[in-house]
Amino acid sequence: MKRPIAIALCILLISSLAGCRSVYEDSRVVFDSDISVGVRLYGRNAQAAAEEMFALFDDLAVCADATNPDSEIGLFNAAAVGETVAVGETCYTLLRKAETLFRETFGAFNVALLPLSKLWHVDAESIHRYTPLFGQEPYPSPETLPDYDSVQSALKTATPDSWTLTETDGGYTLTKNAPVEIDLGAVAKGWAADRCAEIARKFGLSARIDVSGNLYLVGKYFNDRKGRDEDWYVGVTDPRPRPAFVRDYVTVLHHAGDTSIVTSGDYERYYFYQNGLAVPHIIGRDGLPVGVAYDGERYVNTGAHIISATVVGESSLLCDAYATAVSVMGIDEGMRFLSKTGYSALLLTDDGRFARSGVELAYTEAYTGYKAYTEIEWTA
Amino acid sequence: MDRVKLEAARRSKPFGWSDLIVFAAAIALTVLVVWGAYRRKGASVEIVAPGFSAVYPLDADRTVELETLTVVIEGGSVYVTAPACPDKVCEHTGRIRHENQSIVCLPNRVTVTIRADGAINGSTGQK
Repeated sequence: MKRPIAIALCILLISSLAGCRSVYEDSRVVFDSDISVGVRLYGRNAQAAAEEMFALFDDLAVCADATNPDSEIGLFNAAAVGETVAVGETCYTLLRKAETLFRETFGAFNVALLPLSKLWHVDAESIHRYTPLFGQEPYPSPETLPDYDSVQSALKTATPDSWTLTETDGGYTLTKNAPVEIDLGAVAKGWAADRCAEIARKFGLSARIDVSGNLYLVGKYFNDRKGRDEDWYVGVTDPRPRPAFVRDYVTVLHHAGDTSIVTSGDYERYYFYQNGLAVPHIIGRDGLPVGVAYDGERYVNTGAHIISATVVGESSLLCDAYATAVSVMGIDEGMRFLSKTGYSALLLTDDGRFARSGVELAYTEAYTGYKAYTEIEWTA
Repeated sequence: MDRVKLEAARRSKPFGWSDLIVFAAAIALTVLVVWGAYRRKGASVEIVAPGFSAVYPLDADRTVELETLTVVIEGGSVYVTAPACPDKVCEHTGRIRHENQSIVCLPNRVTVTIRADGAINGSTGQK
């Protein structure tokens, strides 16, 4: 080969290598606009990895898409007591996890509360109608609140005991033993985020994966402007920003990477009943939304519930489940529970308290919202 | 093979001046291409609106059209046009370019904030 040609080819080869690794970003909505998935990947073949991640949700939709009555869970929810539906491997995995978590959290994490969510108008479909927007006075509100007896009656069968999940020769079946409806939203997103993280690792990428608020950080953040890896600085959405309806961070968490971070709060899906009672979307063990109590005559706000629970740990499914469970438990039981799990957390309450374990705050002079809260000691 | 050519080839020098010039050019080109891939100036702007959230670099001119207003990134600064907005506070804010400066449209729940280097690279608590 002539020398000049050889050299020209060398130049071409070397300069083409400079463009092999780049940052790939994409986001899509799935489940009929119910879940948004955003990925920021760095490394080779990032686009192929992203396609594999998005394809996961097609698999998940077959099982858990609440908006689709033909999904496995949709069919189960519509079924009568005594009927059995077939479910696939994904549904089986999610349901088993849900059963375990119900026991582990002493009923605080419960996927069988959909009938109660509907009674309180905080299920995914209704809540869109009532969550207030800025400048919209009076706030929209449902006509009535459920009466206490209906709530207690629905609560009786709102447990995993109302179904039987069986592994058979050909696959898996789900039988309804008592009136119940399941919403797997609380486990599905975390499961998907964990699977996406596995895909990123398989492809050797560093990644920021966001499944409707479930964050998974794989490796380091590659700052393409500076051409180097950096640690993660994750802003925690302020549950009570001033002025209202504006987005701000109450604090920033610093993390080295390879972790999931999930925040559960009362400020995104909620309504004010007839401009008074605040009704968040998380249902507690008593069948009432967190922060709501019954005084014998009417419903009242307790004003001490957890308004933001951020959980940090290796499994996004567990982070999400624990964040929900802890919101139901309240800060005292929540702290003790989290200590047993080894997961880290930052908890904020309606009455101005905050507690943290295993998380490092950053930019503490730029993002000072957390200073409005009084730190209480983490009780193990 | 021609004996004369073979002898001439054996005796000739492995590298001549022309070779060195070509190699130097190759190295220079490689350095230029690799460095160019990483060189990007400026901070970024974060736009948050209902159902929308994105971060854009400030070094490239761009127009982002949202449902209720338009964000213009131009010459390293950012401003907003909102023909449908009644009070136009967002428009009157003018251009922003420094870290943590922001334009807010309360009625439409849109915030546009300048973010600096080494700042937040993730957020949690918002779906």
